[in-house]
This record gives sequence, C-alpha cells and structure tokens, in this order.
Amino acid sequence: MPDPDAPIPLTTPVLDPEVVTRSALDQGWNVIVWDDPVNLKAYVVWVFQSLFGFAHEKATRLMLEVHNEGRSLVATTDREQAEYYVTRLHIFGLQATMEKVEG
Amino acid sequence: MASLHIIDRGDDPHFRIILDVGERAVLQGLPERLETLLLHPDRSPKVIDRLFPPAHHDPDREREHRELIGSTLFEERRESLKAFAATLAIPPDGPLVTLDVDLATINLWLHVVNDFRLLLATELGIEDNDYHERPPEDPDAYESFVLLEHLSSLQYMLLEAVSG
Repeated sequence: MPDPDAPIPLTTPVLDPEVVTRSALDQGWNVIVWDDPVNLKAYVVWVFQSLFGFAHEKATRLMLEVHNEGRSLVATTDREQAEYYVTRLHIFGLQATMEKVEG
Repeated sequence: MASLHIIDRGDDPHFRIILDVGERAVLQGLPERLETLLLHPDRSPKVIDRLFPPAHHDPDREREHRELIGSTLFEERRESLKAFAATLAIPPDGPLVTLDVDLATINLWLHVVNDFRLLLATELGIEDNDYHERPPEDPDAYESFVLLEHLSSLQYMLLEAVSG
C-alpha cells in the first residue's frame, strides 16, 4: 500500500483545495462521486489528490465517505468547472455526476 | 510480476519498470481489446456504460453533456490507449523488458490500467466489494479474474511509486 503520509505529485494544476468557488452568475453545481466496487481505494485517493489538490487526509476522508456512504460531495463550483471535474473523473474511471445546487 | 524502481525523485522524477516478455505481451493485448470495444460499442454496451457513465441525472442535461464532450472523451481514451501501447513498444533485453519512464507516463499507466480493470470487472459482472473472495469457476472467467488481480497489483505498485 502507498505510504499514506507521503505527498503525491500533482498532475493537474489546482486552484483551491477546498474547491468551493462560485461565480456570481452561477449559483453553483455539486460534483458527486459514487461508490464503485472495482476502483481501488488508494487509486481513488490518488485521483482526488491529483485532480483537486486535496491533502492526503482530506482525500482519504472523502474516499471513505464514498465507500461507506455510497457517495460523496467532492466539489461545489460553477457549471463549467463542474463539467471539467466530472469529465476528468470519468476519464479516471470514477463514477461522478453533477447536480445544480438547490435554492 | 513487474517491478518498478524510482530512478530520480527530483523535480523531474523518473522511473524504471521491468517486465518479463510474457507480462509485456499480456499488457500489449489489452489496448487493442479495449479499443475494439470503443469502436464497436454494441458488442459490450455494459463496458461502454461503465467507461462513459452519466454526468447528469436529468436526461436533457445528460444529452447536452454528451453532445458537448462525448466525442472528446472517446478520442481521449483512444489516444491514451495508443500512448500506453507505445510505451511498451521497445525491444526486450533477453527475457526482460526495461521501460524508463517519466511521471506523466506513470500517470498515464495508472488510468489506462484502471480502464483495463473496469473492462475486465464489468465483463465478469462484478458488483460488490467482496469479489476477491469468490473466484469464478468458469475457466475463461477465471483467467480474466486472475488478470484483474494482476492489474490491481500493478496499479498498487504504480501508486506506491507516485506516492514516493
């Protein structure tokens, strides 16, 4: 298993690890990752770190939320950025959807 | 089983992957197998659905999403498969093949190997986390199961490398 404390080199520039950026013109879109029996836990953590720039601890927490709860909200952002994240998550082989923030 | 060595951990990390020629041959067969499915999605719609899952629950938004980036996703996967195959296309050194690669290649391998795992798992009908405990009895399915487990080990090795 990978060293859980070791940093992972980023493959994609990341602007904000918390990924809570909403434009004034877009009320926001949630990016949801869904559980999958095939993707390795360590791989999901790596994807979260690589794509979103999350620290290992946060990436692991979100991965466990996906695993245990069946889904996890990994980002809330504007529509264009949400489309980008979902597309990259699909390329990585994760099951992800985006939902408009209600209200 | 392949081995992976970190040659340089600096700003421009480099790695060495050593495969035996038999393992290389198995890996070389996977891009063509997956690309065939991409080009003929009707042959295995479940695999296609798994590799291209919906982005929206709303049908209209999903249709719009597909029209916008569906072909991009398709072409990007094909390009990744070609790039992966190219990394394997070097002459062997006796019974072994040595690949000197950079971080971008390790990252490429990580998600292409994952695509192969998704392909095999979907064909095997895996739907729960405990599949490791129930190897299939059918010989062909068992062969795919063993390959899936092998690719899992390879993916762990790649993850260890990028984790330092």
